[in-house]
Amino acid sequence: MAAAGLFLLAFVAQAVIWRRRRPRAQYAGLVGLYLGAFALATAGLVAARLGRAEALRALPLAPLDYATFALLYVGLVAAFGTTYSAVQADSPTMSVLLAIEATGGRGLGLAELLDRFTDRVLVHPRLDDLVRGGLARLRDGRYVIAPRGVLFARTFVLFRRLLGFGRGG
Amino acid sequence: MFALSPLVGLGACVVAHVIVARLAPAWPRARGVIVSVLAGGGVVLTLGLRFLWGPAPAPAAPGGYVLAWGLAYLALAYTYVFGFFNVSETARRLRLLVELLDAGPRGLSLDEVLRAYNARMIVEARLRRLVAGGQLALSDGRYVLRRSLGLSVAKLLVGIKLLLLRAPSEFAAGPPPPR
Repeated sequence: MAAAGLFLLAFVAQAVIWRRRRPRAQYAGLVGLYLGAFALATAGLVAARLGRAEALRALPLAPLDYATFALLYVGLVAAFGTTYSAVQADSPTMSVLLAIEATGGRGLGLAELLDRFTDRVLVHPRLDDLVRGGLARLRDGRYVIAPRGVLFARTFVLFRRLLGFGRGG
Repeated sequence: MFALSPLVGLGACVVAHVIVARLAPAWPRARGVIVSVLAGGGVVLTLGLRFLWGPAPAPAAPGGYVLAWGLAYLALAYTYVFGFFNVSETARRLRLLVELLDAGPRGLSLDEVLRAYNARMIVEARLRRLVAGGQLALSDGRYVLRRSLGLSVAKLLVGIKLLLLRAPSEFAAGPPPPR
């Protein structure tokens, strides 16, 4: 309960902040906000335990309770962060489904879909994301992978090799 | 130790996924994922049952802990499936990074990027998956909706976008403000 409650509080805070001024580095902002909430909650729990406040017995003060609270909170945040990528950037799969639904049963042909979902819509913004997020650089009109991007890409390449799968996308 | 069962379960899920992918490469990807998540869940359940009925004295309301660990495992398994595996399968940013990685320090021009990976490839891959998954059907050369699960998820995401971004799509929301 405490983990779900803290997550909801942090989500409400995110909604308020994002609606006023969405951070430029959205994922860094997301991690900072939810980890900050966790750090504040932990500090509060330590204070409550030290104060031995009888009224706060329902809080996760014992080690087993705290470990359970921490893991569930981290799990919820990780799951939300995963979902957020489909919020921050329009998923082509979801966009295709919504576009087809909007035809009221008529459906869309490949040419019509390609007219709507062009490189400008599907690729350029993602390249911008990579540059904005420091995973790639734009140097003399050429996109070059940055060291953080190398680490990120190699991790997934290794994972795909472990599974025996080819290139994704 | 029992409190770590969600992490142990996640580890079992990942190991099971690698084994299943290697031993049954012809399986549909979704089946391999489901089997792996169930395997990890089985480990969490086994540990939970040991906690409930094992030799060590359990605390008050032990069922609550087992439920919390189960939920934590599900959240972590969701993160693995959609935040890691599915990213490796479908994410455009990752695919672009892999192309840039292959290009080395010289990098790629925009034209070179688009020759390697472009909108047509992206759309056609998604259509193949959606038809194979039964979400769409091809009827007289037009793609039409069949099952509604994917569409329901799409609408849920639009709801979250409206809440957080005040717009139904990233293009309506515009870019974040500059520094």
